[in-house]
Order: sequence, then structure tokens, then C-alpha cells
Amino acid sequence: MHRTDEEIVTEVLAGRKQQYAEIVTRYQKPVFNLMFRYTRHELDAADLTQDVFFKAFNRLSTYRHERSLFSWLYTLAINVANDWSRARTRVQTKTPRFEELHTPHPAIHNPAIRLEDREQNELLDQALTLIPDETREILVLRYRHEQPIKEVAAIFGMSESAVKMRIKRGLEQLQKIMQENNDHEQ
Amino acid sequence: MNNDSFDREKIETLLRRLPERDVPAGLHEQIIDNLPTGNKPQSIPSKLRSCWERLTLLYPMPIKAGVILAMTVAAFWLGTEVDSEKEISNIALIQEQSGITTAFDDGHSNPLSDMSVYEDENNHLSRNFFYKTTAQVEQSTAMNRWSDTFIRQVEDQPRGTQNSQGATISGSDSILFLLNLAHNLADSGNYHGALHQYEKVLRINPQEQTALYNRATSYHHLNDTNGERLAFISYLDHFRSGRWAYQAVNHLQRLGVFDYQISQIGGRKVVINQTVLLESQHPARRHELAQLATYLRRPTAEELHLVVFYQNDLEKSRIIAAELKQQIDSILGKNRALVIRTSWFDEPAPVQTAEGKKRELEQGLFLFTQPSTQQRSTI
Repeated sequence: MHRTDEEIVTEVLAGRKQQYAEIVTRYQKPVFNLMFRYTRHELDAADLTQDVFFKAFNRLSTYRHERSLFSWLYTLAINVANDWSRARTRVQTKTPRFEELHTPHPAIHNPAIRLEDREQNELLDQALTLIPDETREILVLRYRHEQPIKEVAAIFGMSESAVKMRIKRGLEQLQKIMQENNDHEQ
Repeated sequence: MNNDSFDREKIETLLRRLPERDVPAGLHEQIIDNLPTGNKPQSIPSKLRSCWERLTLLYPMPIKAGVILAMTVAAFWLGTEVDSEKEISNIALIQEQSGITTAFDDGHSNPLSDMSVYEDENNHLSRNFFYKTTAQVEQSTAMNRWSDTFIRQVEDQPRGTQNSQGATISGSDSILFLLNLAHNLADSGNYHGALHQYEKVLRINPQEQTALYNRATSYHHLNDTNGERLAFISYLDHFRSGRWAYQAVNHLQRLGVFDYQISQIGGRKVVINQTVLLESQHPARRHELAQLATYLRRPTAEELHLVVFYQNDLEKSRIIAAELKQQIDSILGKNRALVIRTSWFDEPAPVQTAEGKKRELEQGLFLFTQPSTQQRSTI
């Protein structure tokens, strides 16, 4: 029997904490991938994912059912990711550039992706690292997670028109970068 | 690569099919196992804190705007302060050129003491920071000489020494200065120069984390693998947890050094030196175990699993496992009830590098903790 997120939250708040495992199962993948896009490092992404679910567990009583749980959790995750980014800038004033060399590419490990898609996905993945974090996440939420503009706006605390503008500009930026990289590789 | 151009529709399609990484194995269990147990009543401070957190969650923009406004005002105020100091130092420069003697209580030229503004009974005399040095050295070598003077002064100066006006020249100021200089040199591709500055920082503070790590990366850029290896090991001598420690382990593995492994101890990942732990007579073994014990004392860890691999030598792997168990027990003492479960194998230890390459080591040690069965059942 499929239970809604709201039903599970109600049960967890009623003291049946083992039900929280179901929430983790449902949302750990998008949260982990969000963190990976920020950190580009698997261990860090896993640590931050753990943080998000701890915080969500502790603050579950503040969750209001008018919003979807995904949207609420994602807001929390974005805040954790931004905190991490800020702390990283503050503490490690310079990130050694060659750190990026050892991060395996996600597309390479997915055998389901066809070869031509893989090349395009690599270009996209590369381009996504070159646009601002917030713009990238708005695009991922809108297209990958198929969230309505209204939800995206709520997560980022923006107006709907601002989100639409970001999406438009983000797509243009991606288009430009991908085109340039594609021409460069040919 | 195909010749198609990337129109908006195509990018939208690609975004919809954006591949997602699989969650690392065990993350789900780790999250659930480490969740707080029991229904603790909220204290008044924690209620206030959660109220504040709720506010920041709901209204991040006004708070952000407030903080940005406060920072802008602070930056403006600092700017006016710096301008007024510049004016004072210009006056001092003119006064010195026209033969007015500047009053120094220590009687010799000390560039660091120029950091503060001197006052005597009748005059307000001041000097700009490093004025003397800048006036004497050529522009091309100025930065390096500054840093040399800086570090000499900091090294010569007894801790907490104050100048005539009571202004302490702190090591942290000099470290910040040297680190920024090193970063700028690294940015411009001068890794030799950067390395030199990081070394200077480490002379002031041998445990300065950024300098320790970036020293290793500078060696990397200089293709000095031996220096890089030693520098990463030195980093791990000081730091065993956190992102940069894990990265250091990955880099060492890339360089063929498999002495260090990342272990899950309680809620944290900790780097252990398995080579030291596997050698019975190693002088550093006790120290290594004591470091490990600091993490094991935390209440999240209830069961420690200790797995020893020794290729073709079952008896040796059994003895090492027993030794380690006994030594950890003795370090932790009776107050910490930690169940240690040992396993031993006469097989090579399988390891996987950060790049996903699989390797087998002749000997290896896996350490990890799990909440006890009882603790797990409460969730």
C-alpha cells in the first residue's frame, strides 16, 4: 500500500520514527545528487546528504502540509549546500585546482546511456559546472525533477517571473557553452 | 562528436534525462542508524533556536538582505578608516623627509612596529605599514622581502610582545598575509614562490591546515611526486578527518601509497594508518590507536568491527586482530563499553581507489563501527 509523504510525516511525528526510513529512501537520491553537483566529491556529498536528513528529522514538526515534502526537503538541502559553499570559501581560501581531476564522470558509469547521448551528456555536465549554482539548480528542478514554476519559486524564495527569467538565461548560457565546447572538440 | 547544434529544445531534453548518480552503498543505513533516539522534550533555548531557524527558512531573503546591508555599511566604514590612516601616514612621511625625528621606543627601525600609530606628548607621528621596507626594496622583489621581514619579525618576537602602544603583532595576521601572498603566487602559476610562502606559514604555525594542504598541491603542480607524497603524509599527520583528509588519502593512493584508509567510526569518516596498525612493533602504533580512541569514545559507536587481512598467513592475521582488540580495550578502559568484533583472513585486502580502480594489498585492515543491535532496534 502506497502511503503519501504527509501520512508518513504524521506517523514519524507521532513517535513511529522507523517510518522516517521511507522518507530517506524516497528522497536520498535527489538530495545526494544535488550535493554532488555542489561538492563534486562523493564523500562530501554523502556527508551533506546525511546532514540534510538529520536536520529534516529534527525540524519535521515545522513542516506544513500545504507544501510538498520534496519541496520542503529540497529547500533545506539548498540551504545546507549554500552553507557548505560559504564555509568552504571562508576556510579554504583557495581550492587546489587539480582536485577536479579525480572526480569520475557520472555518465561513464551508467551503461544505459547510449554512446551519442553520453557525449552530449558530458558536454551538458561540463556546462552545468560553469553556470551559477542557483541557476543550475533551478534548471535541474524544473526539468529533471519536473517541478512546477511555483514550487521552484518557493524553494528559492523568488518570484515566478524571476524563475522564468533565470530558466531562459540559464538555457542560453548552457547553449552557448555547449556549442563552444562542441566546436572546440570537433 | 555529432555536428548538430544545441538548440533550446535539445538542451531541455538533455536536462530531463540528466543522469543521476547512485547513492553510495550504506548511506541509507548510516542516516537511519545515526538518527537521534528517544523523544527528548525541547528546552527553552532549543525552542528559541528552532523558532529562529523556522524564520530563516521561511524568510531567507529579508535576512540575507539585512546581512548584506550590514556588511556594506561595515565595508564603507572600514574604507573611511583606511583613508584616514593613509592621510596620517602621508603626513608622517613628509615630516620624516624634512628631518623630523620619529619617536620609537625601542630605538631601532622595526617595520612591524610601523603597523600602529605612534603618539608622543606633542605630535601625532605615524608611519604606514611597511613604509620603510617599501622605500628600500625594488618593486619586483618587494612582496618576497616583505614576507621575509614579516616572518623574521614574528619569529624573533616573543609570544605576546607588545609595542609601545600596546598593539600586539599577532601570528594570525602574518599567517593571513603570507597565505594570501602564497595564493596569489599560485594563481599566477608561480608554484615555487607559493611553496616558499606556505613553508614560511608552517614555520610560524606547523599545523596551519591550508598551508599544509596547499604545500602538497604546489608540489603536485611542480611534478615533484616525492615532495607531494611527503606533504600529503604530513597533512595526515595533523588532520585525520574532513574533506581534505579524504582527498589527501585519494591523492596518496594515486601516488601508489596505500598506507592510509578511510574508516567509518561512529558518525564520522576517519583516516587510519593501517600500515602502522598492522605492525606489532611499530613505535607509532600506540599513538595511532590513541588517536583512533578519541573517535571511539563518542557515544554513537557501540560495536567496532576489526577485519585483518594477511595474504597466506592466517595465524598472523589472527594474532594482529587479537593484539589490536586488546590494545584498543586497554586504551579505552573500563568506562567505555565498546564491543569489538574481530575477523581475520589469509587473503589479500581488496581496496578501491577514488578513481574506481580495484587493487589487492598483501595486508590490510578494515575498521568500522555500527550502532549496537539494541540501539538500532529503537529506530
